[in-house]
Order: sequence, then C-alpha cells, then structure tokens
Amino acid sequence: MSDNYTQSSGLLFTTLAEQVKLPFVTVKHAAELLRAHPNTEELERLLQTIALTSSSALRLIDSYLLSVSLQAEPRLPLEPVSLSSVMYDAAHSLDAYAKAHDCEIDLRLAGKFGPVMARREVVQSALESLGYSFIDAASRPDVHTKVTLAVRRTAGGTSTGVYSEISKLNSGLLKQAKVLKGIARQPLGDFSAGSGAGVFVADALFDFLDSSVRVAKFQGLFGLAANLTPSNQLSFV
Amino acid sequence: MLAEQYIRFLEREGYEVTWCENAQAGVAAADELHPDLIIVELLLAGHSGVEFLFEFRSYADWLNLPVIILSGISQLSSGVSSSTLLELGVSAYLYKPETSLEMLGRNVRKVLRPLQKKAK
Repeated sequence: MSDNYTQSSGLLFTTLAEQVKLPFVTVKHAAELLRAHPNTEELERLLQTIALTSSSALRLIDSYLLSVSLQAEPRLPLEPVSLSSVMYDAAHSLDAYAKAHDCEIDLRLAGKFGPVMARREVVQSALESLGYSFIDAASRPDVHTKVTLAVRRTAGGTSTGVYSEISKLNSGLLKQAKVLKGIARQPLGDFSAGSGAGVFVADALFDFLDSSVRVAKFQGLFGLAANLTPSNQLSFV
Repeated sequence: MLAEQYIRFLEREGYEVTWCENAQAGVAAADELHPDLIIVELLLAGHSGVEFLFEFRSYADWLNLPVIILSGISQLSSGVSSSTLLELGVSAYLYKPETSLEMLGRNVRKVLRPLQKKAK
C-alpha cells in the first residue's frame, strides 16, 4: 500500500469524521427534546429527525467504506449500467431526507443516453453522497429549496450529477478543496459550512470508474457531476 | 436540521430568534433588528466566524453587544486563543458536541440576565 494512498485515505477519513459529528449532535438534541417534552406534539417530527439524520450519516459511512473496500480490488470490472434507473433509486433514497429539510428532489432524465460502463452500487453511492451534501448546503430554515439530479450527454460521454442554485461552485473552488481535503475545516467554504465529506467520498468513488467529480452547469443550475463512458456494445441494441 | 433545533428550542424558551445564513446577512440583520444577543458559528460558509466578529466589533453600535460562539469546532481545534475571545468580548464558547440544549439555554439566560435587570 503506497504512502500516497495511506495519506489520502487518512485525509478522507478525517473529513468523514468531521462531517458525521453534526448528525450525532442533531440526534442527541432530538433525544433531549423528547425527554424534556415527552408528550410534545412534535413527537413525530423529532422521531423522524432521529431516523433520517441517522440514515444520512450511515449512508455516508457506507459510501466511505465502499471506497475503502474497492481499494483492495486490483481493477474494478465495469459493466453496462442504466443511469436512469440508478438516478431514480438515488432520488428515491434522498427524498425523505430532502423533505425533512423542506427541499424538493427534482429528477431530470430527458434526452437520449444509453448505458454507461460503471458499477451500479458505486454510482448510486456517489450520487447519494453528493445529494446529501447538496441538501445540507442548500437548506435554509423556513425556505423551500430544490436539488436536481440530472443526466446529460456530453462530448466525452454521459454526465451524471447533482445541481442546485448555489452559484458559488466553480472549478477553482473545487480544485482548491481537493488540496485542502482533510486539512482545512471548510475545504469547500463557499459551498458548504461543513467538511464536504460527501463530495470527497463521491469523488473517491467516481475515481474507481476512471472519472472524477467536476463542476458542471445544467439549465442555469450549478452542480457537481462526473462524466462516464457510454457502453458502446449496448448502444447499438 | 441542527439550526432548526436551536431555533425551536430558543423560541420555546421565549426568545425571538432570527437565523442568518452567512456573515453578511448577520450584519444586515443586526443593523435592522438590534438584537440583545448574537450566537455565532465559527464555520460560516465563505467567511470565518472570527473575521465576522472582528468586523462586527468595529461598529461602535455593537461594541458591547453580547456574543456567544456555538460551534462544531472545539476552541482548541479552532486555534482561537482565549485572549482573542476576550478581545472580541465573547461571553461563552460552546462546542456543539458537548453542549446540550439545556446548557445553551443556561448560557443565554446568564448572558441576558444583566440586560433584563437593567430593563426592569
């Protein structure tokens, strides 16, 4: 195992640890409120907060663990994957968490695109990690927001990503963030107040598909997407 | 969700709470609403909470406005020294993972008590 890998993995773990602290605080506070007001009319909402916050943290940990386990594989065998199906499942997984943040998940699958060479579980984990980051970054108390999952054809293949109205995402910010990952508290400062673990875990996962997270635009929205290689074999079917 | 929990808790304690998403909005809201207390997260998107406080304290009107730091980063990890906190007139530094809502409420009451006495 190379020193570079060990160092990179350590930094990713640091961003993850930093990120999952806050869901634990949220759950702790929800428990405290339930103890103080056991018959509160907010019981249902608080229980939902505990369930959804725990799920989002667990999903992020699972995605990180997936990236660690893939490191052990000499070369990940890719297979044709239908992006529309993966994105539908990712959107479905994010939906409850988004609703609890007064956020709407918008799925855009219009246009012609065939299967891509990837691994289904890797793409879905990466998209969900990005999705949770965007929901957290976009949500504001008492403001309805929207997070869009979209696929579009590009010159180099098929781009799949997550978008919102957060306009401060740009290539310079992302490039700098990748250098500051695990070192700075807010490597993606203008995008997220947290450690941005979801973005870096997604980037690590897309790396196994010979891709990476890049800044992208979609119909006036700003986001992060990865370019995947179309499956030539099936595009003729 | 976490911000909402703090807001709901403080509202339930009887305070009127305004949440601002960044330092710029915080300065604008303070100018408009004349709050009795400001609670600041050091990890503000696009701006350091300490920079915000230095800017905030540069206005004569807000020189003595009580401030509590409520942050996801501990004081030791933040690198903000106690003397800087003193210089900024920070009443309390609360680290989110170690701070219960009840503890937050206690600190808010403690900071606001002199103002309430003065008002009476």
